[in-house]
Amino acid sequence: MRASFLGFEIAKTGLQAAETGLDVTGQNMAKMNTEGYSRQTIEQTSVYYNSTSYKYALVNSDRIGQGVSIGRITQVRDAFLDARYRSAKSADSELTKKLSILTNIENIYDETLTDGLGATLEDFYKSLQTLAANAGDIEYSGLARSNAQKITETLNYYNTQLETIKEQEKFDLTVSVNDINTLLNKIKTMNNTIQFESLQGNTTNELLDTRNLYFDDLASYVNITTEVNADGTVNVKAGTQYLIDATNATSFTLSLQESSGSLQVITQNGELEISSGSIKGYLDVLNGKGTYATSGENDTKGIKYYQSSLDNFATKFAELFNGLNGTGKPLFIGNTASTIGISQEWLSDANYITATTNTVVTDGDNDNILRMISTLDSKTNISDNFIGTFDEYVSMMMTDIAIDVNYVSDLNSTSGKVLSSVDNQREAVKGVSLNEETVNLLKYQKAFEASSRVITALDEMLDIIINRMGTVGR
Amino acid sequence: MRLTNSMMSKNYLKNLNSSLENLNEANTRVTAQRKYMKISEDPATALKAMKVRKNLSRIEVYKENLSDAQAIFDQYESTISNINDIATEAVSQVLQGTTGTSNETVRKTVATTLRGYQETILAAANTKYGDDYIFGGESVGNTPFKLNGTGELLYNGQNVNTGTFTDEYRFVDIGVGLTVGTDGEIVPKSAFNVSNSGSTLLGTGVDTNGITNNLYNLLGEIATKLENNDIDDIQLYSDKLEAKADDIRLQYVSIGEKTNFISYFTERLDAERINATTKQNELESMDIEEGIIIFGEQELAYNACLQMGTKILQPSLIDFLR
Repeated sequence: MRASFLGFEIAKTGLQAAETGLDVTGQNMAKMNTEGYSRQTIEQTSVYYNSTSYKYALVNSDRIGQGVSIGRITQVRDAFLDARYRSAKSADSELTKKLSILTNIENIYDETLTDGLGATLEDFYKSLQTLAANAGDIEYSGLARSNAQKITETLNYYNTQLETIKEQEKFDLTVSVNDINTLLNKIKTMNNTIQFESLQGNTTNELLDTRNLYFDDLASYVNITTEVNADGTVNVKAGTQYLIDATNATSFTLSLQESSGSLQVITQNGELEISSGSIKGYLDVLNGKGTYATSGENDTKGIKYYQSSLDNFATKFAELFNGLNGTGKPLFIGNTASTIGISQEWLSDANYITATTNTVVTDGDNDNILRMISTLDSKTNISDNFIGTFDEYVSMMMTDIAIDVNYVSDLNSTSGKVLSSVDNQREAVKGVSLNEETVNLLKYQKAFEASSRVITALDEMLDIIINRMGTVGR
Repeated sequence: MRLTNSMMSKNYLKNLNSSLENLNEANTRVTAQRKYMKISEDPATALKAMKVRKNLSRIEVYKENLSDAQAIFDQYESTISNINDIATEAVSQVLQGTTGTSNETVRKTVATTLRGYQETILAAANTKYGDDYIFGGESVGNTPFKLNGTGELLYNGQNVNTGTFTDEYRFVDIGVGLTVGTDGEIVPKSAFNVSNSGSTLLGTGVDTNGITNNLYNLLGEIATKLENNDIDDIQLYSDKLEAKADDIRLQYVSIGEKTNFISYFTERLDAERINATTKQNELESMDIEEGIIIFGEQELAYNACLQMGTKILQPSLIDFLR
């Protein structure tokens, strides 16, 4: 025997499922442009009859299922793609940061449209040539002096610019480290909330979305990996070190420290292994000594490399010209890019520049000026790994940074493409498709209509039994 | 792959942006008429262009130096031409004064004329170009020829008859590889000597007959002899004067060699400059037609992208349901 109202129950579950389906569709449509939202679906399962709920085994009666049950409402998300997205984001952020700092450095050196060290060096050369033709004339010595001053001032200026960039980026790095700490705190709070809500049996989809967004943000700063625990909490690691260890309920705070001239990001467990992310970009450019690095030091061509190459230029330039001008007659003082300047003696007397080494000095003797010209034109050992003329050295500095910018910019455009391709793949899984949701809308609407029709049919059937059956002869 | 609306709008926005970026780049390049705006856009080309830039600047320097030298030699030429005229005139005057028919009065007149020539030669030898004495040799700041208290001619402080004079050098760099020798001195072949020595011009020392080699002194000695009517060995002196006049003429003619060298070098530098400028254009300048075509292409792409936007972003199934 079939229970009289069984059909109503089945149709009711159908109506409920359709309603929930519409709600979820509505939710998906409403949040289709919400950042970090992953689409949700309902899990519908069949209700099967269960002999234990009956006193006797049911024979031949209602062997059909008993409607639909709404299981959980789950979010569609692929953890593997999340991990790939985050590693791609770390790589991209590192390069973007590097490119932005290097471009700032390039702007100091680039002489394509403006005049810089190369042009002032050439001006100095020209004024020496004029001085050679008019040796002893105070106005030409003065011209040579003011052009030499342009060189020292340009060196000072370059160095100041590099210092400014260094200070700015260091400040930004501090801000970034604080941002990371804030994010870690937020994730920790979210871990607790999710754990609590899961225990209550509540859905945590929205909370998961928020936490995933935090992970995405964190990945732009530093390379992270995540481990999901059974209770819904997540451990966060950078390299082999835990940033959040939810299993042991411990978390770490990042801070910046300067050790032997290099910046480090440390936690309570010591220096953090950072392999990508914008923090890596900052550290590389701020600490990088390029070819000046000793073993164990950062050998990226960073600000320190460019400062050292300027210092080398200043040292060698001052040394050579002071030597040429005669012992105890320095033209330049200082031997770094920040300290080099014209000597007091030369400033007070333009003719302090030695025009001749002849013992009897007469106007027109220019042999020493020619020696200076020849020095500017001949190859010198300017740094440990550079032998060439001064203008070649300036070209080298200019192309060094340009090639770096070019290289990083190429890498960055590749990493950007990788990131956007992974993002697309991830979006393909978790994103809301309006067409799909519209089809769902129709689907659940039709389902609702169909279940309602079933109820009408059952109602009419009962009407026949109750009101029209057995009325013969009445 | 499953496509979602936000993916499409995100990708669309990215493409639109990059299309606009390309348009901007094409525009900047056409406006600036440059192939690259920063070295990092094309380091290899930029490095070559930097070398060419330096080359061009050096060519200007060398040309400047050559034109300075040319000016000095022009002045030198006109001065020596004067001296040459005087020397020639002096020879004929002396001839006139020493013929048997000429009497004491004529000789005295000739002597006075010769003394006058002496003055003129002295003034010419002390000619200035700008602030520089062109016959000062290495020392251009001081009057090269002076007379001491007893009327003896001094060149840079030394008596021209008894002093010792060496070759004088004052170099300018004309781009033939200026080098400093191991002795710390400029290698003469690596630069251009612009000094004109007054000692070479007028001559120094005395010959085996005890007659001065110096034109000024020679004229003086002849004048003294004529004044004193002491013309027994005058032939020796007039021969010497002729030889001296020949020497001056030779010097006059040989300026041509130097000025030829200067103009040859200037021409060579001009040719180099044309080459370098062409090279610079090739490396740095944008071919304007090409630039405009690229700009046009980018503009078309951007417009197409915008038009597509209205079609891509709007419709979904919703738009087709009643």
